[in-house]
Amino acid sequence: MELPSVFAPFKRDPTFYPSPKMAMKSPPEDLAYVACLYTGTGINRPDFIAVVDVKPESETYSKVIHKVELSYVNDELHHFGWNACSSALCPNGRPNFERRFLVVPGLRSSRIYIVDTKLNPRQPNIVKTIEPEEVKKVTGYSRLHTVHCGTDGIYISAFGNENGEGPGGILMLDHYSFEPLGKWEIDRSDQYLAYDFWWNLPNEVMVTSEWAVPNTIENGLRLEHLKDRYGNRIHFWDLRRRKKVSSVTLGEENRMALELRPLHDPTKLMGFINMVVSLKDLSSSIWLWYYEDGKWNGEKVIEIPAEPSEGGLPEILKPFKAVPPLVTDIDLSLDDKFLYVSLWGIGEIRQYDVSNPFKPVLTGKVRLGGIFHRADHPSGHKLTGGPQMIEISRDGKRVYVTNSLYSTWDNQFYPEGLKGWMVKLNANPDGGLDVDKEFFVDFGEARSHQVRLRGGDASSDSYCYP
Amino acid sequence: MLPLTLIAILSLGIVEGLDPYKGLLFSYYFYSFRKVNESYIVPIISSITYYMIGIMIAVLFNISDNILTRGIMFSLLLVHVLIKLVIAKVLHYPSNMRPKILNVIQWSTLNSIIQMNFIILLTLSILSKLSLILLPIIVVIVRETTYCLSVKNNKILFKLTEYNFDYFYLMTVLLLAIVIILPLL
Repeated sequence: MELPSVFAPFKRDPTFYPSPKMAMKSPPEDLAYVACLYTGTGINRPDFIAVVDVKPESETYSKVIHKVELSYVNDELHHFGWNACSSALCPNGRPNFERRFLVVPGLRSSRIYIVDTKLNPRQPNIVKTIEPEEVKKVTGYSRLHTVHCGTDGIYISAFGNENGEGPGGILMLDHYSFEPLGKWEIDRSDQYLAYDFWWNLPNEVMVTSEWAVPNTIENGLRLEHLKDRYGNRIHFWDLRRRKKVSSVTLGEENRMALELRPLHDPTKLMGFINMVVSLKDLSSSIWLWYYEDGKWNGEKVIEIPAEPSEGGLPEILKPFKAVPPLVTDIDLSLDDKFLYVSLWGIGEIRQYDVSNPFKPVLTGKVRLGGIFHRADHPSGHKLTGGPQMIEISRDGKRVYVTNSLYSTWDNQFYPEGLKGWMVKLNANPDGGLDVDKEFFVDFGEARSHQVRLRGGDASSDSYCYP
Repeated sequence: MLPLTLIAILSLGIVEGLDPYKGLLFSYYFYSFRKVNESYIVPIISSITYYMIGIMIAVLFNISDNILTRGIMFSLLLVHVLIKLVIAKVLHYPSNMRPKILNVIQWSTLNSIIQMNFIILLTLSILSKLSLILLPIIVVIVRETTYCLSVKNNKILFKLTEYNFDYFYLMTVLLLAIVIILPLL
């Protein structure tokens, strides 16, 4: 019998694990929730969360089995996360949480949807909507992005203020009512740009990255803005005092410091971040950030050059006669062994062995779409766009990939049209990667962005024990 | 009455000692961060600081055993159960997470206040002054023993996290309430 919601659950959510090592032994995922959007496609329909069957034994395997249609149009779904995760098992956590609600912000609208997945995981439903006006009024922020479940609330990053300018930052939601609580920062110092964030909970460190303010990005990329309107720094914060303590510039020539992937092992104070483009040669790079000798450092550990090309280039790339790799997402397996890198421009997913984080070794790569490769799926499906968002299963054996970056930028880099898809890669535990021929999800005219796996994935949970 | 009182104290001590969210997870946390010696001290520190305020209040007010005080404590225990049942989720202070003994002290002291733990100690002081010492001792023994076993096999601790000990705690508080009101019936 289900206890009334006023009471806390009697048993721990079985998807919570104290350590990433234990989480790797969890059962394989059966469902994936995928953010799908019509924003920017010219189709005037609300975005939706697609429920995809990812259980190979199922009759509906590799199919969209349900769509949670949102209440408004043009929310622009992007990233989303869980209300609670393994951080509930931190020593100062609480026993009364369960991974039940998806917290789904609209990147363009700043509206937040709360989606209940418990009553029927295959057909979740919206149980609450927090309107943009309320978010802006309480927090002063807008354009909501990353969602992480902390021990004392739900944290969401925001690109800017209500006028579309900076500073961007982080806001908090109440863990139970989902009401916005306010701005997180107390002393932000010179931090102005925002994008992603994550943390190392035991060491009370938060890390934030920089893209640009909403007014710079929302109508598309303008090359003249690259010089001084895009960020190249990461910021380190005292998580308890909510104060910025240090910043590191990741190459003066680099722009767009995006996805932060701290090591899952909380005893290690380090992580990776992708720099999307270098003004010098259009290359992308991956940097390792780490704490050593009492200070934060950044070191470039991977550089991926642009590919010279003249044919089939979109207008925005024609002056360069080259295709930049555009590393727009990275993801780290739960054992901190493999880093997956998406080259949205060239059309590749790469797997690096980062057992030694200072010296990554390329162990596998596959071609999927892209401006340069234009590779089709092995099943014969045409792949428009390029591989973008990556999500890794908890056991590290499966990697899910979708293809949309950001509506207005999709239209610039793939002007011939971008139709949403999701593919699965099989990852060899000893290194190596191949595209699963049997798995292809076609979202039609809708575009697809972040994937969240039911029960958790490699980028959803924070751990307090190694 | 003595056997019932002992059963109430013992069950409360065992439940509090086994509750992973009242110190055991912190021990394992210290151990994970290679602070092995501190990890064995945490069960003692967390128990003492958690009960210290309640013990001090009980000693300071030295409540006498009569119908009125028993009636008041019985009512307070019921209110305590009700509040815990309905809003346990907000009766919690997360505190600083760095694995330091000082943070454990701060965390357990503040949570002891927020969770109104002194009500239990005040009630116990009516039943027997000795129980003010007995309860923390039982908790320390249970917690320390469980932790030592968990170090050998961390599945024990993981298994304990499967259950919301708040519910076991509420049952033991109800038992205590029965013990305090029984002589008046």
